[in-house]
Amino acid sequence: MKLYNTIKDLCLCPSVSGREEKIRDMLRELIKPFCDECATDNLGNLIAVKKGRGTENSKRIMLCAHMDEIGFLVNFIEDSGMLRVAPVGGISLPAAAFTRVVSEKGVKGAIVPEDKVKAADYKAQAFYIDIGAKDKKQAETKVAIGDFFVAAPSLEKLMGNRICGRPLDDRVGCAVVLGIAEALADVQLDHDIYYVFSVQEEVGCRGSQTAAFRVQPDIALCFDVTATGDTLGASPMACGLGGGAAIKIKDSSVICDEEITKALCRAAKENKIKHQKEVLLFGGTDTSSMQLAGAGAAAGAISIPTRYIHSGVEMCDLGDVQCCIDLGAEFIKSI
Amino acid sequence: MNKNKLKEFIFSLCSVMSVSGFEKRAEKPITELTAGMFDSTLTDAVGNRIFIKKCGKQNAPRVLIDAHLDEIGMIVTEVCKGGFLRIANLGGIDVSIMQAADVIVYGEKPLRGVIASTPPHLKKDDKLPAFSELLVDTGLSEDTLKELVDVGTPVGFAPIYGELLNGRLIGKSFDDKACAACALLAIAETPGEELAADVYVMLSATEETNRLGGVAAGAFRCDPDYAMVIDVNLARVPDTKDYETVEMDKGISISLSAATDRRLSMATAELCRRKDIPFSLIAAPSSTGTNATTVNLVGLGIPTVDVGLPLACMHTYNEVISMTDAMSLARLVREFVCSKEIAAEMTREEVSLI
Repeated sequence: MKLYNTIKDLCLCPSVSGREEKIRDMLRELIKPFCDECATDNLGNLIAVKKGRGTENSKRIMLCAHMDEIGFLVNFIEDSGMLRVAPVGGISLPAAAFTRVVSEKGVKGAIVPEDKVKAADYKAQAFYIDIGAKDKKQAETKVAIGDFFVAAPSLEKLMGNRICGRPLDDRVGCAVVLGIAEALADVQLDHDIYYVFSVQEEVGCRGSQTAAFRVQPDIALCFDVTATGDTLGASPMACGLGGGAAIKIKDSSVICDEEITKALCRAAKENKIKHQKEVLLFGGTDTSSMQLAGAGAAAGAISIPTRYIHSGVEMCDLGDVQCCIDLGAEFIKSI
Repeated sequence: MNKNKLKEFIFSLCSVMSVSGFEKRAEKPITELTAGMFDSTLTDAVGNRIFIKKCGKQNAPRVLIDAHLDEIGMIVTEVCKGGFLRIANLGGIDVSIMQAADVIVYGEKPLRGVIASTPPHLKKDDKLPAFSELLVDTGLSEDTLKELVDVGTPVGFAPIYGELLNGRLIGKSFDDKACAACALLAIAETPGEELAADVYVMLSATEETNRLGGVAAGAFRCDPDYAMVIDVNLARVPDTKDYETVEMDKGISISLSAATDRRLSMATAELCRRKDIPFSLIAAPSSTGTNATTVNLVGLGIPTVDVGLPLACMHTYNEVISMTDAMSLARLVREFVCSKEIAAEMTREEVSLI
């Protein structure tokens, strides 16, 4: 229940790419008890460090989950009071159509396509947000050009261990990193562990790039959601809900370091943690930007299998989430 | 340089499995192939292989010669019922070349395989399958296969090499290890005292698959004053457009691009003229489509020239190159790293902004 509540608290704190202040403040309070130092960098990444013993074998290990989410940016206000918006990140327009949205200032509204536009012809220019304003003047009392909106956050429990809502991408990854930090809080390690909550992942893995440049990790691990092959009509993919932690082999932005994926599999087997392998044929993650920042890092990822990513009904299995936490902690202890 | 020696070195290096993302598996065989050739060598965290040869002078400039180590290939996405492997492509592969191709599955031990194909007798139409519909047949039963192969296992085209007439070579992954072979051998055979700079030869990782290429991390580490990126270039064949291709046997190409350094590119062309190395200039407007576009912007910026070796049947298991062109490339690499004029012109000045 504690894990569910953490995920829910994180989900209900809207923080679109480029506007991560609120979620950063929340995460700072949550990570503080488990680290020695905590700082925000120039881009807004939250970097917390748990210092190791500082021996000859000490490595720098960076664990990263992004704290931003996809959303919309107001770029024009019609005389009628309707808001024209530009997408921020990989918005699925069919999933966004006819849903409730909320602005960073708390203004509520609905996002809809123009009348008579068929689903097959959806494009962002044909979408607008209706906040109930009677005209432009009234709309401008609540909203300005440059304001961000997100699809309304929510989280609910379904049958068994399943949870459903948004934005599980990637608040569930943030919860996993928090879980690992808690599990390692009282463990004395050789290595310096950097817990990083990155900004602007959804617009091109930007935050993790500068964070990794600063941290210069030897080993970098990303915690993000991955798609599954267990929905109706899905492309073949040997990864599903309830199958445990997904050890990333590749996505379209990265091929993970083979030593890291092998070590993750070994840690999972030795500690009897349910796991599966992930070969994702699309999508990108912070794994790639960490791998190539500065002189590069051995990079891998533990992914949380998630259905219906970038919709309002993203779905995970709490059992898988716990497996990801256990695997992350055991992997670090094994290094 | 001895032509036969270069040819054999190209075949040996290209035979090594280095499917994109699995470059570290090539570490040992490449160490064996390059034993004694360089002052030092290392594999970095990303899988880039860096070879260093010093010129022996104090405060010498550094020059980077990059050719990518990785090759296009496949990755197992599912071990299917009946003992077949489902695969996805790593790098750009045209599905029309796939059916009945010879492949090697690099599991617990290498397994020979063939891509299953539907005989024409049974086909209802001419439609090609999607890549995700291709299956590898290894002849093994499902149970045995599951013991030897897991999701994530790399699959490569079989290393089968030969020669056509007129000094043409044929086989897999000349893109880009043939270029790497030319660079490695050219530098190894150059006496250290002739070098105008400390030379870093990088066989870089994940050019075929990563949006930036592993080269970004490797170039950052080498921190050179100037760089040459060598990759294969589309060779002219019937039905290709002249302005998109280069002619075989007519030497290497030098790109003129907004993404590379004009001064260094022209200096390299001038060097070719002076040393009688055949070359052609090509226009690559906003990007070279190679690592050069990335290297040019690493760190504080690295002046980069983009050099191409003509290659036909690109991204297949029967790529074709010309030994005449390979020899031209090897000569250019040697002249480039020995050029005191280029070294003097490209050595960076320390500029303080404050």
